[in-house]
Amino acid sequence: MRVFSPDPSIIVLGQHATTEKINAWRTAMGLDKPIITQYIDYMTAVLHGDFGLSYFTNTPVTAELLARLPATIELAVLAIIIAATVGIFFGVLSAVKKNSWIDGLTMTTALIGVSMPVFWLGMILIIIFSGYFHLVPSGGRIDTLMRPMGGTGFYLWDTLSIGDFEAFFNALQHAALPAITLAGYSMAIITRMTRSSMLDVLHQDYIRTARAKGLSPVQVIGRHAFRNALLPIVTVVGLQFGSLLSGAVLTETVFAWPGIGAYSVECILRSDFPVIQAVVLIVATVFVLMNLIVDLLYAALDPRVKYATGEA
Amino acid sequence: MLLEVEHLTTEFTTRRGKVQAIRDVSFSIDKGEILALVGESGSGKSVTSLSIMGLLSSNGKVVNGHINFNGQDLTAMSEKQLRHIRGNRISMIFQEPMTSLNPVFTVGDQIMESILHHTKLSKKEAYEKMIALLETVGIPNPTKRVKDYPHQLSGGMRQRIMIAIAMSCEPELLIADEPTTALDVTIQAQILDLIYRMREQFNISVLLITHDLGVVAEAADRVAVMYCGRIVEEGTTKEILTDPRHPYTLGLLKSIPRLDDISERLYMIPGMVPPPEEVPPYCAFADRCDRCTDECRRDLPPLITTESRKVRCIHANMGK
Repeated sequence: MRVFSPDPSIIVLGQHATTEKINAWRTAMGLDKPIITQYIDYMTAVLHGDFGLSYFTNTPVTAELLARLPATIELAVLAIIIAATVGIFFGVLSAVKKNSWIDGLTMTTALIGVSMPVFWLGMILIIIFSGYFHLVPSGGRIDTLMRPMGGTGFYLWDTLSIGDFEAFFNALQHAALPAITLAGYSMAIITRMTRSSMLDVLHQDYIRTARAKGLSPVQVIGRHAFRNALLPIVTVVGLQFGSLLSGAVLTETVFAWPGIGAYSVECILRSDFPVIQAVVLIVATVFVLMNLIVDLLYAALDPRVKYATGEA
Repeated sequence: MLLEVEHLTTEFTTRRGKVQAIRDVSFSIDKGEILALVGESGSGKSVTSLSIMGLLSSNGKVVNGHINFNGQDLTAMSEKQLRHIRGNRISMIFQEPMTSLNPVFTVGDQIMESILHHTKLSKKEAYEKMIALLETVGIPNPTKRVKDYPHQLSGGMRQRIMIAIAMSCEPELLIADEPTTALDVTIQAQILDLIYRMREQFNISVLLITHDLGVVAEAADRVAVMYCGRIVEEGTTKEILTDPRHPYTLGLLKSIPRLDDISERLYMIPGMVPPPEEVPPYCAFADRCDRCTDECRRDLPPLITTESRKVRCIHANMGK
């Protein structure tokens, strides 16, 4: 990044800045030191909870990101809910109705979903639903006048908790398209994973046992098959959620969604190193954390997996 | 008669067209009787049992014949009616106790599920019934074991659990599909003994499916031998084991190692079982048979019936 990005000093100070001013700024920001020293200084600060100041706003990076984090999380949570619900439903359906037209349609749609560029899907949705039908707004999180004061920054939660349903629905309308767009890819992945996992389970002997007990198809599929198929599904959902939290860059940009993704794009364009570094670090941490959570969920879902406790 | 299977034919639709896995199979089981269905892999034993249960995979279908259970034709029943019979009046245990239980539920859950599904017992009553049942099938310390998951139990224990599930609603017929094949020899004997005891205790009938004539000798009252989807010989266990009439049954018996036999090599039936789509319209065993004559390749041999025996061979010497 340091190699490829344009020198931030010129972007910050303007192209008419004098050499003295530029050098003074670089010294102040520590950019004149060797890259190794910079790295050690940075990591030391990070370990103390200090991500530094943005080159542009001179505000702490932590504050900048915290202000945008709720928007990103809100979008990612909405998207994963949509992706998991729709994906699992159609995955199970197409596994149960294997080789039927439903299966064919679902799998084709899923294939398209996996291959479609996110920004393109976003734009098409904007054209159809806000450009043509005028059903939903094309960008932003909420109408300015309805923006909730204070609160957690999660608008859906904030509006709902004070009982302002009009604002809640307004926020929901704003979130609908970006959430669906963001969900698209994960939905397709989850559908495919659910289908193959279910197909695998449906051929197991214990499914035959369950049928031999005289259970109805709903009980056999819903209880006996699904519980077993859930393990790989949880893995995919967890990993997808991790990547949704970090990978909303394109969607947020297309929908002018004021989250971390769109912000990091802004910052990359103007070489705001402290911000970009912080974003990368957070994204990586979130991803690792999601993996950990998924691993812990295994133990809850599968009795065969037990993690050693205490001195064991 | 508790169960009467008449001219049962089951067909599977495959990529290479329609294949009949069993053809014109007829047999019956009396109350309290153990009938063994014997044959090699692919002879149609399991398809017969799954046809009775109505559990054929989606490409399989009973195309002809009737299955009368207590006078009701199972082939004419709706799926819903069948579900009421399955696990309740006819229950089944399978070959692989390792994989036949659901790994994510405790064995207690899986036994209770069956009881609660078919009876109107309360949870507490069902629990007590389950514990009593587990004691009957020889599970030590049942109140502890019900909290175990299948992977925590041995193969023999799991098969006992399967039997407990099968017996949970006091069925009239138990179908045991190779119940001992996957088990150690000592455990095999215990499980057979248990099935035998269940029969004595609950007066159930058993359809015992096996390829092991040792199992037959130990447990069955009567035997039906299947070859290529057809029953080729039927009789009491003693008759079949001491006086086989069909050359295939004879071959099966001769290929069991014997302690008093001093020959170096074991007898082998020459040739191979034809795949189901290549079964000839004449006697399916003709190509492997040492009694085979031209007449054998002309027509399907009729099922020759005398008092207790049936043989599908024109050279069977029934009068002997």
